[in-house]
Amino acid sequence: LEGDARQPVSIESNSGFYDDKKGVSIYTGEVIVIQGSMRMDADKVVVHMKNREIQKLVATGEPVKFKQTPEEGKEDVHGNALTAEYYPETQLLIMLKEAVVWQGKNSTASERIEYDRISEVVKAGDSGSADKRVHVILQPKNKASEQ
Amino acid sequence: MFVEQCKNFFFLFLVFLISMWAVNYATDQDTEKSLVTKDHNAKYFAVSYSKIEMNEFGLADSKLTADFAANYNGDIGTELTNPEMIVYKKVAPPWVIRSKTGHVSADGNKIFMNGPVFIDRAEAEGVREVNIKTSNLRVLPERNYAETDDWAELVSGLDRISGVGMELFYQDPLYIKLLANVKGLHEY
Repeated sequence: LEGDARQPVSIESNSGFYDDKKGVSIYTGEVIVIQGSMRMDADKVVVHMKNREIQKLVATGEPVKFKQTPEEGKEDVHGNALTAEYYPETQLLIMLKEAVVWQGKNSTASERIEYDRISEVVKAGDSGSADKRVHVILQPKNKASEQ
Repeated sequence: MFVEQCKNFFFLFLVFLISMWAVNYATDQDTEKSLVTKDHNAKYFAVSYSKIEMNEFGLADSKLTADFAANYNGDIGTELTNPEMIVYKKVAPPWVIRSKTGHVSADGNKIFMNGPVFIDRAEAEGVREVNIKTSNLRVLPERNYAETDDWAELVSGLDRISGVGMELFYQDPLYIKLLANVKGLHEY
């Protein structure tokens, strides 16, 4: 959503770990990450800091679940993957390994999917290697709903 | 008649025995109590108490100060008023642990920082300012380690992480474990 850009990232979990030297916070056990209208559920989340600010969050789970509410009236965007990297500054979410993103009946599956929360653009596959095949399902709109 | 007299005599003798027992029992109690109160008198006390622990290179490892310290016999140890423990670091600024009251165990291995406890490290080149709030902290200087079962919150820059139960390992590098109900807030 529009207002999500500068929202703080709040995280809840069963246990936590802070490493002062590396500037890393690690959350483990039923981890819930919320930023504005985005929610992510994972087994473990590592928050990397750089120059005193969040650089990225790396979430891992069986799978990591992601849900994002786009503009009013649009259906939620959902995603699953074994690993998800989230960059709050650019609002970019990169899903890796058995990644699937779907909105309503349309879905995309690949080993690597990038989801830009601002522009709501999904980029799947990896130009660098042929094995990141992409599997897209776009449901045709019903004839009745169009007239 | 004679039987009646014997009964009375036996009854009186029984009353005498019970009262003698009661008197002895009461005096034992008092002596124990007085012993305990006697123990709670300080063996010695110190104003502006300061204890520095050095490492093998002759440098200060940590320093424990208190406005007032009173040492007691037995297993009470040393009670402290406004204790402050400074843990020196090779490069980074020291960690400072403060509370209103505290005490050092009789064997000197544990320092109990009672009530609200504040742990702070100033900002410096390459390290962020860190402030930790918790309560009832147990410090084990020999292991560079401290722990509490209470709620604890760490604030550093725009980041905040809290939980119930904390383990603090303050040698280099420092790291902290929060044991339950962890909440993090990261702004940017």
